[in-house]
Order: sequence, then C-alpha cells, then structure tokens
Amino acid sequence: MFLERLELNDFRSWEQLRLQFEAPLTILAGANGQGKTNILEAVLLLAQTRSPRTGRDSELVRRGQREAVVRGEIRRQRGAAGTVAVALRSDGSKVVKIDGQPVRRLVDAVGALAVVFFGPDELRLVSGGPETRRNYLNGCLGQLSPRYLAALAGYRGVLRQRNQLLRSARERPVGGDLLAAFDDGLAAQAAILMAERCRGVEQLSRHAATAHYELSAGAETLQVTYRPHVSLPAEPDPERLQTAVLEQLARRRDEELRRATTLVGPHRDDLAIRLNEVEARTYGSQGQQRTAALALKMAELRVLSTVLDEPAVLLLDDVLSELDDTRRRQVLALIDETDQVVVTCAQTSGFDERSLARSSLWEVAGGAVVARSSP
Amino acid sequence: MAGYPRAVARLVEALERLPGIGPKSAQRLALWMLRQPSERVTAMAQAFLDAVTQVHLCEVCGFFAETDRCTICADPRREAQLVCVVADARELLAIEQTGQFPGLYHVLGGVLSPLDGIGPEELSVAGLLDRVGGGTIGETILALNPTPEGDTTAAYLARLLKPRGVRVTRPAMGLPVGGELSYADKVTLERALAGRQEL
Ligand SMILES: Nc1ncnc2c1ncn2[C@@H]1O[C@H](COP(=O)(O)OP(=O)(O)OP(=O)(O)O)[C@@H](O)[C@H]1O
Ligand SMILES: [Mg+2]
Ligand SMILES: [Zn+2]
Repeated sequence: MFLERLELNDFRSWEQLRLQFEAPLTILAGANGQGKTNILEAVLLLAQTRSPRTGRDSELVRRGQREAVVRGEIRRQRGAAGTVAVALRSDGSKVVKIDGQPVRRLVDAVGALAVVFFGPDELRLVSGGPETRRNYLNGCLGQLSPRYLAALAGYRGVLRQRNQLLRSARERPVGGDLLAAFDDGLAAQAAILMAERCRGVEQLSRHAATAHYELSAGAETLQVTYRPHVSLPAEPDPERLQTAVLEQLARRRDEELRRATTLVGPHRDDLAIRLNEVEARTYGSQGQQRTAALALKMAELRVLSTVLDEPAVLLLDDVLSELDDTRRRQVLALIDETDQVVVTCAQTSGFDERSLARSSLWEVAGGAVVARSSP
Repeated sequence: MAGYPRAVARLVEALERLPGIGPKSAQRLALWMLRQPSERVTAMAQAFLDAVTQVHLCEVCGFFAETDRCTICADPRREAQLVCVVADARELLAIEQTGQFPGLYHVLGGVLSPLDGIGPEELSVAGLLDRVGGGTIGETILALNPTPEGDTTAAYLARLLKPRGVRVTRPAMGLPVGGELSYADKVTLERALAGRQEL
C-alpha cells in the first residue's frame, strides 16, 4: 500500500500543503514546531478517521478557520487505487469520503488506508500506564476488523450512559431495575469487546514473540497476554463473559454508587508483557522495555499486513534519534517489509547509506516542505 | 439597507425552525410560497393547523389519533392480548407496512438515555405497566432497535414485565446489529417478528 498524494487544507498548522510521495522512504526533517508531526497526524486521520493525539476533532482545524480537509490518494498492490478524504468542521462535525462517496458509518472507512504509527509515546508502551497499552490495542485491533470498532463504540456508548446514570444517582435515587438494566447493557457490550480482545491479542502475541526473537537475536522471549480487568472464565464465550462482568458489578455496586462511576469492565483492561517470564514493566531495563515496545509495533505492522494481504504504511515520528544504532538499523530494515515508510526527525545524521539511497529527503520549515538534494 | 418586508421575514424565520431547513432553504421556500396561488397556500396552512389541532396521542398506546383512541386501538379485529412495544411512531408504521401484525402497539416515546436526561419517567413506561396490569395482555414484543440503547431499554422493560406474568419476547436476529427497525425491509421485519424469541 502506498500513499501517493497527500493534501492538507487548514489542518493544524498547515494552511495548504500538497505532497507527492515517490520513494519507499520519505524523510521529513526540520526544527521543532515546524509541523512535521502534524503531517503524520493527517495520514493517521485518513486511516482511522480520528487522531489519537486529541479527543476533540475541532483542535485539528487550523486556528481561526472553519473547516479542515485532508485528502489522500492510495495505490494498492491488490485492487484499484482509491482516495480517502476527511473534512472536519470547527463545530465538531465530520464527513468521511471513500472514492468520493460519503460513508454513513465511520466504521465503513476502516481499511481504505492502513498505517502503523510509531512515536515517542509508543516507546513507552511497556513502561507506561495501562492506558497506553489500551490505546495500542484499540488502534491495532480497530484497524484489523470493523467488528472490533463496532464493539468498542458499543461499549463506550453504554459506559457513558451508565456513568451518567451513576452521577444522577447522587441527586435522586435510581431504581434498582433501572441500574440492573444498565448492568445488563454494559455486560452485553463488555462481553463482545472482551471476546474480540481475546482473539486479537492472541494473533498479536504470536507476531510480537517472533519480532522480539529477531530483535534480540534469540536472547529473550517476549510474552504478551491479555489482562482483562474482569478475570476471564475458563471458556471465554460471550455468555460466560457476560455473567463474569455481572458478578463483578454486583460485588462493587456500593462503591460504584459512592464514586459515581463504572469501576468494572474492559475500559480498565491491560496487556501483560513479560520478558523471559518476568514482568517487563517492573523489572525490564530501559533498553529491554524499548525493544519490547518495538516488537509490539512490528507485530502490529505484520498482523495488519497479513490481514490486508499487503503491507501497511509505516509512520515513524521522531523515534529514530531515541534508539541506539542497532535498534535504528532494525527499524529501518522494516522498509524491506513495507511499500512505504515516512519518518520525521530533527537531524538526518542517523540514516545509513542504504536507506538514504532509497529516500526522498524533505525539509520542513516556515510552512513549506521542500526537497533537499543531498543530506 | 432594504430587506424583506416584515411578513416575509417572519415567514422565513418560521420555516427555518423546521428540522433540516437552514436559512438558505427557508428563503427559497418562502419565495416559492409567495409565487403560489393563494388557495394553494391557504390549503397548506390549513393542513398544518388541522394536523396540530386535530391530532393528538392515543390515550391507550401513544400513537397518533384523531379521537381519544387511534384507529388501531379502536379496531375490534386486532388481538388485544398481543402488544408490540416500539420506541416511536416510525417503527410502528414500518411494522404496520408488513400487514402481518395482528396485535396492538405501545409507543414508548424514545429509549432510555441518561445522557439526554431520558429516564423511565420521560417514557410511557408507567402507561405500559398499567395496560399489562389490566390483565388482557398475554405477550409483549419488545421491538426496539438492536443498538446498545435499545438493548438496555429492552432489558429494563423485561425486568418490569416478567414478574407481572406476561410473556416477554424480542424480534429474532436477522435485523442488522446497530441497524434500525424502520429501515429494515418488509420481509426481514416480517421474519423477525414471526421468529421472535423469549427474553
Ligand atoms: N489547530 C492548530 N492551528 C494552528 N496551529 C496549530 C494547530 N495545532 C497545532 N498547531 C501548531 O503546530 C505546531 C506543532 O507542529 P508539530 O507538532 O507538527 O511540530 P513538529 O515539527 O513535529 O515539532 P517537533 O520536532 O517538536 O516534534 C505548533 O507550533 C502548534 O502551535
Ligand atoms: Mg513532532
Ligand atoms: Zn392506540
């Protein structure tokens, strides 16, 4: 998969930008605050119809403007070329078009462009809090299947409703039947999401183990497992999962009412990451944690590429400078597994000859992107 | 600077309040009306007035009615022991279109949504329980959209209805998950109702 053309209009810091990608590796080099990450974010927006950098789409519209439009032309190994466009208004409304046709549900846009994003936050996948790993999981599995996204949206929907109900219970008592109905609703959606996660993590985990084996030259084994907040029944089918969630909810009912929020469910899930059988988050060295994080991102790339039957686009935001020589070479070697890698960096010194030979080197400065002839 | 005469400006303003009509469309509609023969516009205005003055909600089921009861509730051929519970009139009409449903309806007026301030009191839940309390109803079909909100509302109603000794069912699967009943085609809807399942 290759993103051939990218157009930004009033997106973040960019008033108007037109990029034509050609080389397997594009290097966007420039000083801080020039808008490099904004460009990668626009590509992510096309792939996922939302930005992981912000919960509010209106932030993506250039300050003082009414509407941001991002458009991309995609060439595929299989199937016809296509376009994806996302228009965001400052009032929060959004229109997504695939090949010029508006999509009714955002889920329908998934898969038109597949990308894997690796930035400084992902370097903290192992060392950071559960939320970073949940975001990773959602980003990964969400691109894999529309079913996952539907499950996630369904769960978030009832969760918001149930939290509001718990908050309102502070002002006036809520009937037991009403709360119980929201327990049922939450448990039903939770079961679907948890079942999806069970399945998805299994796939990811196999790829992560292989990737880590390669990265560490066989010295370490990486074990990634799903760590659900509600412990899994022996047979994790939806019915038993639902019962397990309901049991937990019943147990923590009083505490939930006191704290006026939902304390049980997959919104508190995590991934367990172990290196040679010990918890990497607590016992891993910084280098080990980063290698494991890298393995997780490689796993994402490979799972996605397997499912699509062609490689996803890899976006690397400012991570190369934070890796040692060996790791950097290993990351750049991923160019061989993909059709397209786009990298942002402050300096271009870290690239080897082989990568540079296959790259377009672009300078990002003063609201423009210009080709630099030699590094 | 000259603008529209006041009466026209008021017309534009009124039309703008219609759902889905912005200022531009409102102006277009107003200018069109002003070009029509006056009988036509009078007939339209009368239609508006008639609708809001002559139509209210059926005291039994909550559907539109011109007398105390809607034509469905007043029809002695309908089976009073079977009641189909829907969120709003659109779903009722979609089911009526199949021509296959022999029972009566109950229009809730929405689904539970704490975020929108919609609880049981905002819906005609009490009315439904009263009807069931009357003793003639043997089965309630909860024909709510298969969305998380629809599911939760169905779970709530099932909790209240079952202890009162009525059969509680939901239309069978086959309706697309997250889809809307009123968009389902006749055949799908007919099949879903025929193959309803016990909750
Ligand atoms: N909605 C917006 N409207 C206008 N400018 C914005 C908007 N959102 C972000 N910016 C600007 O974009 C700039 C940041 O761009 P970006 O994060 O892409 O920089 P960068 O080149 O990646 O820098 P670094 O090397 O520090 O990561 C900031 O100057 C910020 O003010
Ligand atoms: Mg940046
Ligand atoms: Zn009626």
